[in-house]
Amino acid sequence: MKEEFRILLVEDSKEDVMLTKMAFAKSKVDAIIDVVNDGEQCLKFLKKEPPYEKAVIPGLILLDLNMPKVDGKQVLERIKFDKNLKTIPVVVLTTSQNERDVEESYERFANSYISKPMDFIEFLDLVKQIEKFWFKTVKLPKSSE
Amino acid sequence: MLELLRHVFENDFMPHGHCYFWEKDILIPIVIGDLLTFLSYMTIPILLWKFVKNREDLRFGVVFKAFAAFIFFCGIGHLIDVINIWEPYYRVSAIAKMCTGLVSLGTVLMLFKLYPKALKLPSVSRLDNINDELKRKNKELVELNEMYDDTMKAVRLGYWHLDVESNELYWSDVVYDIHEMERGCNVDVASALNFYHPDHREVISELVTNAIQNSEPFDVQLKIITASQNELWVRAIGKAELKDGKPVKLKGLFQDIDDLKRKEEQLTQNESALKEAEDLAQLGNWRWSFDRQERYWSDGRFKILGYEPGEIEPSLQVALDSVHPEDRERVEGTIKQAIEKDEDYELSYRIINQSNEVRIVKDKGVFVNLPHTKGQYYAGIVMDITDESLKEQKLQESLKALERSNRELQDFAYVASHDLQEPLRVITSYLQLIEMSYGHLLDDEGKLFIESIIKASARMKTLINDLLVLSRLETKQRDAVPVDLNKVINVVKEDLSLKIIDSNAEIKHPELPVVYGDEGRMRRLFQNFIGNSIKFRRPDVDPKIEIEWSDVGEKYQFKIKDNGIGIKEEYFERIFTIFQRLHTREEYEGTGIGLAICKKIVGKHDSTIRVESEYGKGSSFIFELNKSKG
Repeated sequence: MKEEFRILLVEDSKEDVMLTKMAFAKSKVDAIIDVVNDGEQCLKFLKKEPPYEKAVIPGLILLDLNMPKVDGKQVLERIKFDKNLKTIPVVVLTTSQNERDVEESYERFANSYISKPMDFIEFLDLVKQIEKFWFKTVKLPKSSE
Repeated sequence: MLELLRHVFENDFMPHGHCYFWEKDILIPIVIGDLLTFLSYMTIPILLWKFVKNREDLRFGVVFKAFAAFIFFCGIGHLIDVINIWEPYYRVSAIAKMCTGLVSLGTVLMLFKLYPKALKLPSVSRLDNINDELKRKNKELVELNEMYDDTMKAVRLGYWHLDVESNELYWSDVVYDIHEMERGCNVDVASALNFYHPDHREVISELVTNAIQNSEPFDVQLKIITASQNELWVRAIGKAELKDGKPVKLKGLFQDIDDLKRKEEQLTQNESALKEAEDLAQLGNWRWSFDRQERYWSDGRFKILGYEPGEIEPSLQVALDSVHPEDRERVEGTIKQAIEKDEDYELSYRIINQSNEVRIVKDKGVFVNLPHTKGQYYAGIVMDITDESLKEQKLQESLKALERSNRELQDFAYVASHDLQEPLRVITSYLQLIEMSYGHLLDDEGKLFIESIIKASARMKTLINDLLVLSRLETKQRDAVPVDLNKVINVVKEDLSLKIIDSNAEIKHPELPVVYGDEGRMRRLFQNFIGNSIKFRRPDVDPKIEIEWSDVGEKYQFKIKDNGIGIKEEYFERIFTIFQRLHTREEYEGTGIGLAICKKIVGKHDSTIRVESEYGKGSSFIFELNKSKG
């Protein structure tokens, strides 16, 4: 049996959520994708606060930067300065190509920074690379659970 | 009576010779001596008499006459004495002696009376002194006269007179000189009047007639035309001399005032020119000398405040009162501070003029210190700059608006191109998703539709990317670093390798120099030029691209030359404008931004770009790049 890949997608755009899910589906990457639509929900999810009491801590977080309420960078900060959460790899996935965003993300210990692909074909490619790298190549610590 | 005469001439006395005993040695000398005395005493009165008669200026002539009488009687006495020696007319002798005595007494009395007066008579030496003095004064007078003549000549002032009855006209030398005529030649009234300028002839004729008939004096400045046909301004003064209430003579002065008049005319001209200039420039000037407390305003200065020239007494207070209340404190402060420190000042402020209009003026004052002549004063100008200020203000506003809109446009271009990418990415992705998931359900037409949308999206993506590049050029400043263009060209060739191979393009260039600039932008610049050259190639001609360069002082000049389709001259300017395309998309793809980017890059390196082209044969793009960081 395949190992279970759990991904938390933090994305406010419904189109992007669907695209991401489709990309995983089409590239035949078998992953369980939980979705939250902003930073606040993300933090509640990770801390299993209502309504996410039954949440499962993901093996990877795909984080958009531009979000309402608590934005991506703030989320990144909270995760990386939280001793229970900081080991979770966070991949920033955003449309921004702004160099300051890149710098500030790595300063907050993002595990990698990826610009959203300009078309679906590239997206499929990306999903495969994520799977290969984060779920196959990289050795990660056992989750605290 | 006869009896009396006989009595007088009785000579029956003893002759006087008996007293001398007729001794000849006594008689002879006495007789001779008395006769000589008698002769002399007769001569002296005659001479005296003649002297008195001939010397009219002689004072006290009566004394001389008295002396003459007295000596005459003395002489008669001596003659009688001689006669008495032989014929004793002693009674005649007595009468003669009595007469002599009386005359002598009269003379003595006269002398006593005249003595003090005679004492006062000047001596000869004193008369000589007086004479010398007179000569000296005379000489001085001559000198003075010469000086007077010289002065008259120097100031070209002459005199003239006209005898009313004989109509005889006299001119002094200077009058002849002024008329440029020979001195002393004959002139009459008619010809003298004819010398006047035709415009003035009537005036002078009337004045002369009036002076003679009504004793009305005149003093006029008129023009004459001299014997040598020169036009001159003269001053003619005339006045009648009356005798028994009737004019007998007209006399006056005549002066050449041409220089003065011309200077005056020049001055008047200058003044009016200044006034016109002031009016044109809406300018006024003023002067304030503080030691004399004099304040001068030119006409223009009054006009700026809306006053008629001279309507009011110029003063600092009047000037300050006209200043707009909001500006007054500032203006007053500045001017008073300048005056305190003897400093210059320059101000612009609003005034409210007499017509209640708000005008903007520029007021400039300079402190002038001329210790030896005019002392200290302020001189200045006031200039109405309302129109200029309004224009300037509008210009500034437009400039600000332009800057703002430019900045907004740049921001907009950046934000728009960035944010446009987002939905475009989604559209493209979903299209691809449809194609992948439902492609098999679509017929050929449906597939074509989707394909068209995908192509359009791709174009939009390029467009957005180019716009982003262009707007980043504007918003981001990069430091100039040395860039090796050989490397740049190699990278560009690599980037364009597919196109180069497809089109069979040939790119030739010599060893290129190192320039100062931003490497990424250099790359974009050459890539756009070379890319264009390949894109706009002639259908059946393999593209040939040559890069040349030369040293042009502070910069290097580059020329990128191709053998493509060329550009018509009328488009030489337009091709550098954003979104300007000369071809349909079907002919040549493109966003119309490429050359705009090139122009901006070259401009950002403080250089210019231009195109040379022969339509149908090829184009050359010529531009400069920096040799050093400068």
